[in-house]
Amino acid sequence: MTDDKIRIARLWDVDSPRVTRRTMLGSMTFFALAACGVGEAPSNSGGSTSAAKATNLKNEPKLNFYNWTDYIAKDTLPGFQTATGIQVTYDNFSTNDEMEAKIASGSAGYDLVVPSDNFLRRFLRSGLVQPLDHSLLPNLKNLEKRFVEADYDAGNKYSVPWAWGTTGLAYSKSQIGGDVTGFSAYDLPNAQGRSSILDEARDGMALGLLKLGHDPNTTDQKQIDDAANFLLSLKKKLGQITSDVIEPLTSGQVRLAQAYSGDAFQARAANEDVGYAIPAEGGLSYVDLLVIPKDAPHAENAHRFIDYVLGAETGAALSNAVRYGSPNAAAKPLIDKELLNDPLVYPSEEQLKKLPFTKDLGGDVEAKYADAWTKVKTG
Amino acid sequence: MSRRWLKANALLTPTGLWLGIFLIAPLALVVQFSFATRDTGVARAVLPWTTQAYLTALDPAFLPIFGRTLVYAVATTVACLLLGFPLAWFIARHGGKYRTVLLAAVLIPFWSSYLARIYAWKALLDGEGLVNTMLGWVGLGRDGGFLLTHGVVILGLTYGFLPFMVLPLYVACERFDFRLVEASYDLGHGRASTFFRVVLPGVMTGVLAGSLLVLVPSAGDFVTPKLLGGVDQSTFGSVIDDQFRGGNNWPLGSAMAVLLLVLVVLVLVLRGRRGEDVL
Amino acid sequence: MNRRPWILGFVVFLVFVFLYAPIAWLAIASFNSSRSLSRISGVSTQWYVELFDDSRVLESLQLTLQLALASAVISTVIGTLAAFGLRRAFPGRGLWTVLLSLPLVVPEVVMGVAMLGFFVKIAGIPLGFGALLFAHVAFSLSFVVVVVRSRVSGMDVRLEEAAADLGASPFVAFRTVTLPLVAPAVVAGAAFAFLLSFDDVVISSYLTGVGSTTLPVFVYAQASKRGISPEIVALSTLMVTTTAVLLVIGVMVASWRARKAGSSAQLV
Repeated sequence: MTDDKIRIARLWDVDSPRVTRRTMLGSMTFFALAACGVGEAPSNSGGSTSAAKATNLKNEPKLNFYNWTDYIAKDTLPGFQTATGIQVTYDNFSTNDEMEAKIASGSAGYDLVVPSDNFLRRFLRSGLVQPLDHSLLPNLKNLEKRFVEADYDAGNKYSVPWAWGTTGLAYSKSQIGGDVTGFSAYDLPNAQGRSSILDEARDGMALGLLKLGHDPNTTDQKQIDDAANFLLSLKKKLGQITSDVIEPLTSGQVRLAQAYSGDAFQARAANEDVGYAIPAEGGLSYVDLLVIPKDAPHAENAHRFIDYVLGAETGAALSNAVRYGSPNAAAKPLIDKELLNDPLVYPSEEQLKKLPFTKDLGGDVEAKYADAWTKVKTG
Repeated sequence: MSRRWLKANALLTPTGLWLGIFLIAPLALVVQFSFATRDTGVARAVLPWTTQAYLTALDPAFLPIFGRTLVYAVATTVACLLLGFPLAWFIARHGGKYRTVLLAAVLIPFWSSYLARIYAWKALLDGEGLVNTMLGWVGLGRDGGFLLTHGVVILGLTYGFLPFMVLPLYVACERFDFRLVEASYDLGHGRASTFFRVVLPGVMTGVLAGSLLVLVPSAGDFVTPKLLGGVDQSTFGSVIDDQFRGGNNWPLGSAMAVLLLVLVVLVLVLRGRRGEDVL
Repeated sequence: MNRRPWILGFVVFLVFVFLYAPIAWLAIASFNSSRSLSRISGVSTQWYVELFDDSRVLESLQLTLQLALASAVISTVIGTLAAFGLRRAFPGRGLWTVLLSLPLVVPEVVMGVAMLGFFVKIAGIPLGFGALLFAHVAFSLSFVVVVVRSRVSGMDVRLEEAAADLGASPFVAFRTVTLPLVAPAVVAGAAFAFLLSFDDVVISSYLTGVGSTTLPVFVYAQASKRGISPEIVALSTLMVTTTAVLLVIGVMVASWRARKAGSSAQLV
């Protein structure tokens, strides 16, 4: 399929030059009022792939930063402001979806956002982010090799990792009544009706795929179906399908939960009884990434911020505050020993091999996952 | 064009304009999405036009979810009526000069954060929570508490929508002529007959308005079932929500929303003139 | 029903227990020494201290209050007009009622996504306070109209006609006769609109702009990474307590004034 043969219309993108007159007319006759809502769009990423010199569209010392809440050290922003004189507006979102919807609308006004790796792939496919100007990022050399080579964005063309974690099993040490080493823990009598899995298509499906011995990044329809069927049978033993696990784990209401390591960490901070294990079958790694939207008004300032957090000291301060894994190799010596030795935050080399990132499988396969997941949830 | 028609439309114009621009126009987009093809990229809904989403939405597999949504919504409405009516009646009848205070007291809890209230219910109702512990003293405790049941979802919905019922009911009761009750007793009617023949018809507009304000939004609510319910608590609203999140399927979600709209509009049209006084 | 008001009174007491049970729990949990909302492990006031240190919470609270107030005023005014417009049957009334029912039916996430797309890409309305206000009024209007109509539709037209016969101008008749009659419903409608706006998360989360995060959106964002924050529990407790105290003071002042004036005040 060549570019011009794929007729994909991009939502909202009225200005897209590739909207042909004919499709526009077609839409208009179809629905006059909302015709400008759906137009035709490029099939591959719209942005150029070579890094241009990053400049501020608006020449003012400002930076609009859109991040998850409490996902920053107390001194990060004031420190940056003192060092550069750039004033930061810090806003927060609660789901990747709402953040994506705003960025996709094209005039959200943010210079720097922090999607998770699974959303970065969607951003790249649709050309929502601009390539990074590496000449403004001398500290890029501080990154750990694993995050330079990662296949969601090899060579950090578009993104720089902020913090990372893993997907595993969190549990109540005193209540679970058995060893939690793998997904068979869902069969423990004490877990019946008191366990949960994540409400995210790829994470939930990964549990089924791993349990059946398949690759969590498989593209095989049969394996995906098998995993969905396994999850449907697992559902009878579960209490909930939810990503809201911190408070239930803290209170002991939920005794076993598929969870992100960061959330498990929060729960453990409030209740020492919470344990975390990487299942023998394996799990996934996830990483939240700094990217600059295509329409960012202060792209140069965004680069300066990225370079600032890539610094060894600022990177370490960040990691010490948010208690997630740091992708910053140069920061390692400055990170709390206690954190570095915590298998919850930094799994062993051996375990890391069983914790791949979720891969971008392309639109068609992602749709298969989404449909299988809808089946699991509604079945 | 009678004067009355002109006057009515003049009064309705600001509302009509506001809803037309800020609600109907965006909804037209939703209708458009519902006929688009799904895209798993950021575009979400793309050309060419298709009715595939409607075919999927009308899949019988969604029927149990539809039924469950209906049960939740009806049960919530009935529970709100049962709790809200005595409250509204009492405030209107016996509130005296404290009526405003009592009415405000119904609303004050809702000054707290929604999420905080739901988590508070979770804390109260879980296995080691206060409610289960107290019930345990009288031998009615339940292992693991009451979370993740249908009952607790209805409780959460009832809690959240109770003011929606109390306000219109109060407005109706406040207008009610309480001497009619005395008159009915004097005429030898019993309590039940007085209630059904005198009180209920008298406050019917309030009952209808309140039921409408509870029934319809509670059918679309998904946050409460999601936070309080268990594995089998997906509702129509939560299925639609799922389609809009995680890059799932915007056309399907839109089609389901459109079907929900059409259903309600049909009910409104079919009921004819009756009840037009309420909505 | 009036013969045994104490039975009714007891039922009402139970309903109030139901309404305030979670609030009471929040008040207790706000003094908890750990972050947990469900396991009380000790007494501490640290969350209140942190709350007042957190300028972002207080800023978004201010924004949220302004927004709720503006939304309540606008939707009450134009919603009340609409309720009067729908008072008597006229051709096309059915259509209006269908229009007004739409905001009740559309699931919030659908409305949020649709409004974001329409506002930003088609209407050119920037995200932020304006967009939030447009949306909040749009979904509050129906509630105001339903509540006010339930009062207006049963009103005796002859009262206003009598006022007109006595020589009152339409405006004077409206102010002295009609308005006092519908006042309770208008106040109820305004309270409704205020709370709907004050508590909205889903739609708002799609419409907040740079530097304009509302409190509920902030709370959800915080909960997504760290669980519900004890600061928010403390804030909720404070809000409820403050309103309750203000209410009691208001009542005391009113009844003191009434006694001074030597007449019994009817507060509604």
